[in-house]
Amino acid sequence: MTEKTRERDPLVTVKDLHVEFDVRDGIVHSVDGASFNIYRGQTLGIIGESGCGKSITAKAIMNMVPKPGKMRGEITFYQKSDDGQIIDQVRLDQTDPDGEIIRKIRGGHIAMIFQEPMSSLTPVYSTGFHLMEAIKLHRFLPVETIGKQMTSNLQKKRQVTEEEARNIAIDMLRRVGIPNAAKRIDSYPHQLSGGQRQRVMIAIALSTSPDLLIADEPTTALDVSIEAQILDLMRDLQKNDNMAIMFITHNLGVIAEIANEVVVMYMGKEVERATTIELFENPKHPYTTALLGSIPNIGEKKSELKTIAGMVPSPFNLPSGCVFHPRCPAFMPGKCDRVNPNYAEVAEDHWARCLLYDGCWPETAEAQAIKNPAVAD
Amino acid sequence: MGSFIIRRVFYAIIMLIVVSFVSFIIISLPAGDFMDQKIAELQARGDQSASMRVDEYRERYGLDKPVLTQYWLWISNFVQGDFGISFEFDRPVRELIGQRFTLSIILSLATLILTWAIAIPLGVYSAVNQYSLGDQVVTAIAFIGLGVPGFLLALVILYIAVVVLGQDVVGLFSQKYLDAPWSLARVWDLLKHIWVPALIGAVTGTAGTIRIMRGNLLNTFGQAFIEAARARGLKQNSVIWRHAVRMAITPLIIILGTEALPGIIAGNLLVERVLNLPTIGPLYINALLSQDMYMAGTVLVLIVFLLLVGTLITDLVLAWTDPRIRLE
Amino acid sequence: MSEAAAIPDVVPVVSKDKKKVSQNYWSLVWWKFRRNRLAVIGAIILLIYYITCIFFAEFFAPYPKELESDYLEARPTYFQFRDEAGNFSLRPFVYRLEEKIDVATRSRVYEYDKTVKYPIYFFVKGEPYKLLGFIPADRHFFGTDPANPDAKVFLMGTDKLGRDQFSRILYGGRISLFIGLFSVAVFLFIGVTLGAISGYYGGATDIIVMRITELLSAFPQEPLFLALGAAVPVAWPSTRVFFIVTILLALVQWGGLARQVRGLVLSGREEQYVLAAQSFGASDRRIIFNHLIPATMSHVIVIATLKIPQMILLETALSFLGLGLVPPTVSWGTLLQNANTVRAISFAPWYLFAVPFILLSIMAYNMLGDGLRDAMDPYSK
Repeated sequence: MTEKTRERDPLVTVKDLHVEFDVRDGIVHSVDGASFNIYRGQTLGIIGESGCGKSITAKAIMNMVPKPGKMRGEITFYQKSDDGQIIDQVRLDQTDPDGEIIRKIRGGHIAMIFQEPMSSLTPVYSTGFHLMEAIKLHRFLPVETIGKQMTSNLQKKRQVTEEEARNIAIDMLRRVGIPNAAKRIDSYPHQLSGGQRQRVMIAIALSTSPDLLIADEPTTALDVSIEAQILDLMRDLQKNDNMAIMFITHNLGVIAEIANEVVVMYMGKEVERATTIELFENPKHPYTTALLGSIPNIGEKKSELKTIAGMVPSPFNLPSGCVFHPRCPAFMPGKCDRVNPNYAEVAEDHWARCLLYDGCWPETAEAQAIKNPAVAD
Repeated sequence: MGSFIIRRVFYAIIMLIVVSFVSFIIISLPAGDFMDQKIAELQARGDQSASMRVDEYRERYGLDKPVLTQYWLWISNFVQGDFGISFEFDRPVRELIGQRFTLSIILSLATLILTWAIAIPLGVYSAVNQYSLGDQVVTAIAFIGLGVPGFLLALVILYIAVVVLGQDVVGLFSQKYLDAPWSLARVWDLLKHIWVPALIGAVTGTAGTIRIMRGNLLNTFGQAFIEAARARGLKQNSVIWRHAVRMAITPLIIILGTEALPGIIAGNLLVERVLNLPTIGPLYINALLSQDMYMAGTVLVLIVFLLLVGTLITDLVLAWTDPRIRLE
Repeated sequence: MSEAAAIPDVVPVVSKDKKKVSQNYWSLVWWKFRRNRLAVIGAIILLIYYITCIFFAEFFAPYPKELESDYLEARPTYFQFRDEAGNFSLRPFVYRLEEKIDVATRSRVYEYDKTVKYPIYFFVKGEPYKLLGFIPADRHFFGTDPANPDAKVFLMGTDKLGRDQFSRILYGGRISLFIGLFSVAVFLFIGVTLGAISGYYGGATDIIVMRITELLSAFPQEPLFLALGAAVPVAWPSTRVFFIVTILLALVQWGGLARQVRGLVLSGREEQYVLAAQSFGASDRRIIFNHLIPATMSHVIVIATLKIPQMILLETALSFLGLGLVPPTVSWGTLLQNANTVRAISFAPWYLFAVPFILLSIMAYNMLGDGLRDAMDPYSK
């Protein structure tokens, strides 16, 4: 699952991402300064409650933020050639949302699967249609030339034929474990079960051999047993193709199974980031601790289930200071409600946003004054 | 599928029988009959001898028999293709309707094509650029178009054409080509005249279609598969037309199917009358006004027949285009 | 220690609206409705129509609807504010009409005689009438000098008998608008009752009612209505015709409403509050009328508001053809009959003034209905 020594090969870097929605009642900061990296072949998990901004983050990477959202920040995609040379750095945030560049990347290099497999396929088109649509758009085969030793960069590419596309599609369906693939390819979405539909979505996503697969709560709408199968499938495919995965969920158990590194989000802000093991063994942010604490252990006798007190605040009425302070078990009066903590590296490769840690206090005079109050007169 | 069709056809036949009966009753409701009216008319013109021939006419047309007998006579001939005699013109109903049927079809076809050619692109444009200036203009125009009834518009256009432009827009042909055999020149003449009633007829239809297309499309845009399609890197146009419009257009097909066929006759009754077109509509209205029973009854039954056929065809087409329905 | 709340790094939230106070459904509807400018404009326009046509037509119309004059098919005399010499007067006036023979067409036409001016007075004495049917009065909103019997004002021309079209349009509006309201009332009554009973009881009642609506929907509305209208004897007194036309209008259309109400009642029947009411021993009648039907109100109101213009148009079409309401009854349809022929339109185009009148009322109803529909739907923007 994880590797102790990781190759730091960034695929997508996100720096200081902000997404704002200007609605009638005010401005909602859906994503408020997110920064993280996704490395080739690795799985990044993003966890948080509903509405914390994780889905919007994913959409921002694809430059698909729905109107009236506005995005700013740096999102960079490092494109490699077939034999491992970096050929391009694309600033995804600067691409035209309907332009050719981002469209090649969407589905071709970065693929996304969604939460509701029920409604992710167009009801009037068959499975095969969807698959072949994507394949014909993104898969190119090398033109056969006499001198086959040409490097892949210089080799000309041609589009796939109808028949080739269909074969690739059937092959993909087999790889994701759909039985009777040659027949199923002509079936319609309503003829498939939820689990099968999600497999089809994965097949479509993977048919173009993307560098990154963004999975936005792909198993939330499925049974636990199907969920397990889908996760196994994703891990296998990842191993085979060295594909990175950005896995969004609110389920800690899934995160534990599939992610190398985890980002915890709350109200649009990153509050903690660490490797999976480190996060589970040494959570630094009280929110993470509370999340972990609320997981019941089988066999353990408890009188009550632990919950996180309070409710997610309204985006138009954010608490002062640290946004989590009204619900925080480690709340420090006079400090947490007045100072907004910075995001800082509080241990090796372990980031958190909490005033419990020195590095998170801002450098401003007021903040320092609150941190070290002068002895009372 | 086969049993489905058989059931529908059976149901349609029953409907037609009931409808023909109800229509006949309604048409014969006015007190007195065609003869009384005709006599009054003739007497007003100074023809005193008509009253003497009344009984002869009555017997000839079967007007002296009780209503039910009249109905039975009519319907038993109807199914054999004899729709009765038109009192007004003293010719078989079938012949009169047949003469005008082609033109009715042409007019309704022209109106339909015009409507869809304008409405679909505008509706799509409006939905894709929601809240833009273009959208607001289109929505406003559609709104106004909905409120403008055809025959009022016809009156206004008549005024503009006759008084302001000095053109002759009445009827579908100029004097020269009225009874001439079909030729390229006659077709051209027809086209020159047909755009006025087709446009008037298209106004309401376009307005409604634009609004429905826009509404459906906006609903479809919010659905997950549209976002998923975009995420696969499809071009904006492909997403809109191949996926969104394809889904949004189903209700419109239903409307089209159920309204197109009966619309041939009943599509624009009053406009046809105002413009005095050689189509079936004015025949029907005249028949109502002069109590020309068989003519009016036949037209009414024909309209219903077309409606039933249209609905059946629509259901079949729907089953073909939307795979979800096939299983039912 | 400083008390000042110097809070660094706090994200500012710009809030534009104060909290809404009342959450009651109808007050929300009202609030949302008010914000829709088009709908409010529609409502105001309709209010003006109701005032001028239905209630106070006698006051706003300078002449009674049957009053004939010597000016046959005369052109309109519009309000003037500037005379030949260029003098501007705040009080509008109209020119006298002079009868002339048009040599080319060999027909009588009327032209302005710019030497004679008739000033327009407001709240002027005119033909006596009974306001609202029982209050005797004789003041009119505007008119010419009552002392001068030659002074006439025909804002929208006259017809073949010299009757003022403007006045007749107002009176015609009374009938047409009234029919719209009345027929929708009957339509609602039949449709809602039958639909609710059908949906609630199901079984045989349901089947019968549904079959009838199916039969009804097999007929295309306009031709059916025209055929029924043709069955109305011309000889009947106008009040009876009025009633029967109203009923026919409702009769042809109730099917759609009944089906919709039935659907709403079917789903409403399964709601928890119905089961609760039944467990308290509430009678069926009580449940239907006090619970289920009010739940359908928001839909029904919208349908009703949008039906009114359709009814008005159907009735107008009918009388335009010479069926149903016929002269001497004055409705917008009978007035339009004057504009029936090309000859009429080219020689007396002022007959078409009725058209914008009708159009405006239809549009106002549509705007109102649309606004109501948006306001009643809590989830729309």
